[in-house]
Amino acid sequence: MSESVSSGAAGEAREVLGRLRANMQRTIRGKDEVIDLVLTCLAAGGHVLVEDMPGVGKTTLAYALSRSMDAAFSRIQFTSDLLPTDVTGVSIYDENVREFVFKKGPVFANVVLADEINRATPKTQSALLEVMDRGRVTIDGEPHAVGEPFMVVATQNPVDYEGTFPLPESQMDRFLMRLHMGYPKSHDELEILRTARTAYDAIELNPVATREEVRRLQTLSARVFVEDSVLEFLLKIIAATRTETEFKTGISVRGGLALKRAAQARALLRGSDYVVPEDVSELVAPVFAHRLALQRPGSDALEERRVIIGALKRIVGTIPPPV
Amino acid sequence: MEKKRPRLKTDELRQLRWLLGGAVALVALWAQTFLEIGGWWLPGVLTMLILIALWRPAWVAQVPDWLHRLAFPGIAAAGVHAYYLEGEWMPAMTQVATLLVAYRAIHYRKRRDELQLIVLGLFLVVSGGVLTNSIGFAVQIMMLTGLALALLMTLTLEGGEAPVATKTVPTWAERVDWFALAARVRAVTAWRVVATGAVLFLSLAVISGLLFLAIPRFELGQGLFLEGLLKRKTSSGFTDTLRFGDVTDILRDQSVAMRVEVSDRSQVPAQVYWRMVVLDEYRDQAFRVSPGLKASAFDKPVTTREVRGAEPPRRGSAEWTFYVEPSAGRFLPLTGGFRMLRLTEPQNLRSSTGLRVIELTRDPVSMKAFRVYGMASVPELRDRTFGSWLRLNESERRARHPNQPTMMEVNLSPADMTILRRVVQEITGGVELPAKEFARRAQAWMGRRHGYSLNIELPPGEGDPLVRWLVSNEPGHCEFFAGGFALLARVAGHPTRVVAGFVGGVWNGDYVIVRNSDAHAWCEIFDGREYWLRVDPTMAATGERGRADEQGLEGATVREEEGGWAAMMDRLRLFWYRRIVNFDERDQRVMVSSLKNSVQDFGRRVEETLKTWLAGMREWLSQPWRADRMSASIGVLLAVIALVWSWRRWGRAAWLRLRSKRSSHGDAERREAGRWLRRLAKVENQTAIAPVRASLERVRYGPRETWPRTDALWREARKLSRRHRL
Repeated sequence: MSESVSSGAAGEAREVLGRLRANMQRTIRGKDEVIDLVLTCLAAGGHVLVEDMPGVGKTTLAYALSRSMDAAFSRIQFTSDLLPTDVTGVSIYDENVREFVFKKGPVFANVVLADEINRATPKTQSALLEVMDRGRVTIDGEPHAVGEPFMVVATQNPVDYEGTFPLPESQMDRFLMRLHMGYPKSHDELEILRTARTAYDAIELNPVATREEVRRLQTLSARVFVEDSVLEFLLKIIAATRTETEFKTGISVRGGLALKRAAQARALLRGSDYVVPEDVSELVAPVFAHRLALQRPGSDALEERRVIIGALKRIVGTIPPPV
Repeated sequence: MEKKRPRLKTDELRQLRWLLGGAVALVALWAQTFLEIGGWWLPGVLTMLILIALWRPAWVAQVPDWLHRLAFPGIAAAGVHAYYLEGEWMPAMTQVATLLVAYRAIHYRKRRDELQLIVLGLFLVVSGGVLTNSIGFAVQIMMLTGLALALLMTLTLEGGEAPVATKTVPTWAERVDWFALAARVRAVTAWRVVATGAVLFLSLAVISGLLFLAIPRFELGQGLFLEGLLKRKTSSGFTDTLRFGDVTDILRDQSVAMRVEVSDRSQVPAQVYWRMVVLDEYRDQAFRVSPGLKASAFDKPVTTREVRGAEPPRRGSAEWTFYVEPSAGRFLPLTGGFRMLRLTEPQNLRSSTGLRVIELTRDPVSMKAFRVYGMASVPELRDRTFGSWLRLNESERRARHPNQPTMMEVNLSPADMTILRRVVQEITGGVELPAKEFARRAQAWMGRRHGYSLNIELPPGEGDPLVRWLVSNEPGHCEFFAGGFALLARVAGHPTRVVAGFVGGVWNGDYVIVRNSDAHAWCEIFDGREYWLRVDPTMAATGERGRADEQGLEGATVREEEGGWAAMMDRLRLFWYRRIVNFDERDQRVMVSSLKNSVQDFGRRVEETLKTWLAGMREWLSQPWRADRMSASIGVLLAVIALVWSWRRWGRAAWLRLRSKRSSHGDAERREAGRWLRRLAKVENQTAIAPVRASLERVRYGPRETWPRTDALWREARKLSRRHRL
């Protein structure tokens, strides 16, 4: 087993994450909580699904993240006629060299914004599977590594379901978290109106962290200490989702591991080298909600989401944290 | 797709748990009323309180905090008070258990509280049942078991545990509608499963009840009731008539006839003859117990547990415990005379002190166990009565004893008698020999003519078959050898009788197994004065170890049995016999009584010591205060303060460190840090205590190697706690 993180290293990580947070806050107003969750996801090496109405800053969030860490950013607008090769890239025959040459797709970046992911066909959606899981693309039997760090920020509209293909459960499980931007508060919105921009790529942000620093963050995050009673607390929550009558199925083992990874990253965000029960309980909803389905599904996705989150909060409320 | 059955929600399960816990408490209180300790008012009041709490669980939160704080000291005080009032532990313990059960029933319970409730309820019900022998016990224990099982199932279904606070109404208690809950339970219950479970539970209860009744226990009175219920009769075993072939039939049976435990193994002789029945009369080609012997030697049938024998008490004599299978018949096996024989339960029996034979009047249908004290295992049996009878002439014998045994008679045709006389002439050479010498020569004569076999082919011809065999060269088995010898000895003028029983056996651990294949017949010849001498013509004629190569008889020696599954299973069987057999409840009573006395003695000693100490203290306090006494008192006080201070400063931390080192996670110190964190969470200004809180959090959740010094940390936490008056 690798060594635990020293408190000095945790402090440094906090400082890096603090810089990223401050930088992103300059563009994303009044969404500190969402920024923290995205940074947690980044530190944990996970991918994030942002589910909200159009025009609440989803794309800006992804762009601000990539700009803040001097990373390659690419955006894929998912549509029903998008092909898998449009995402991953394709091998084409080059007359000059008389052989097939691989032309990289937009997925070869550090932060990939998969906009309106549910508009693409399942085939195209699944093209993202391997790259999200393994950080590489295999074309004609040959693996091609994507950027490192690598993070997919996917978005989807929870209301307008006309002509969409809901993400399969296997793919939902690949996202570490599902986030909701929500409308900004009025004073934040006023500030946004004052500093009106035409497009997200007009955002002027200087990078405040290198890719190397982010990679180190991710390495440190996996080594944050989790005490046994905290693990037991986590396990009790997982077990409770499996016996909760409202859910069709409980949380998988992968889901449990995701929560542990996210809690470790959150500890790092606090500058701590160990996980406390709050790190776990605070992340239950964002990490678990998209992995659960209701026993009696509702017609309204937003309502369904609210019920699931309500049930998760109730579960967390019934399990006393270890103190 | 299969339709999924609806399930109870967590809050509904908690409501059900509350209801079941209350019911457990009510059953326990009901059991307590049977004891009538402390009158009816206490269970009555507590029952009312529990019913109110069941009706309106939310009201429980209205109980003031100080009452919860005082609950346990109050219950302990009530227990002490009950002990001083009654002077016995049982009422005090019952009082404490009752109050605890009631308290648990009227406050929001954690999982461990539910378990405590079940255990205390069980204690109250069982103690009530055992002490009062009330028939209500059966109902109460059944109800409690059912409720406890349901409660445990609910706990299991519920899974996680909600934090329990005494002052906050939990969500499940906010709106309770018991009728709605009943409807929900009805809707979610799989009735087929419930019915199967109920049938299984009831079957188990019925079987347990029957076993409880069937197993012999203290003072069950007439132990023959089981025989009355069972119609089965034994088909094998010894009876009062021994026909040729009877023993052979038994010999072919390899099953266990009896098991014998002997408290001192060294007292088991090298060759053991387990005597069961003595047969004197030879008539119609069979040896039997003659009516004369029955009338003269046996006492009248009596129903008893104890039979006194004629053997004098001997120091260090072993106890022989017999476990006899019903197949062995109605005669009890003995090696000789005895001082006393005790059965596990009263039996209707006839005993003969002179013959050393005990006969049950009915064939046993189950294993019979008995213990023999002071048993003799010698080849000679003293019988002065027979000696004095023998010395009388014929007319005197008939005048004094009209019903005489026929140990000298030979009811044979004149032709057969002529043959026998010729044989005796051949054996003795016409000389009148002492019994012992005659036996030796007769056995030698038989050994020369006959071998051993279980398959007999009698020579054809007229006359008695036993006489025909005797003068032939055909092999025979124990019945022929014993019968032939008895006839020859009687013709020679020596009173002789045939004895049937078992011989030898095998050791299996600390007891002897005797199988039906060890069945045997041998003789006892009277020496003319006062002893019956054992003569085993089969053994003498065929060698010390008998016929190892033949079926059946293997000799009278108790051999060591080899191990194996069969031996182990037999040991298990004996273990069970030991469990159910109880010879003397007095031993148990003495043991229980001595245990009670020692507990009471210990209690008295503690009480006296306390009283003496208190009296001394009072006397010391009442003396005038001088400078030396003052300084001594202050010194003691300072020493106590120093001790407490040292413990709190170093002792506790060292103790926690020591305990933590034993577990790789440092659990004790983590728990201590958790305790301080909970305490300091009540501080309003958390910023002021942030550094200490961070350190405590590190000890609680952080890696052990990064911990700060814990003893210093505890001191800091204590200081903060004091400063914020926590």
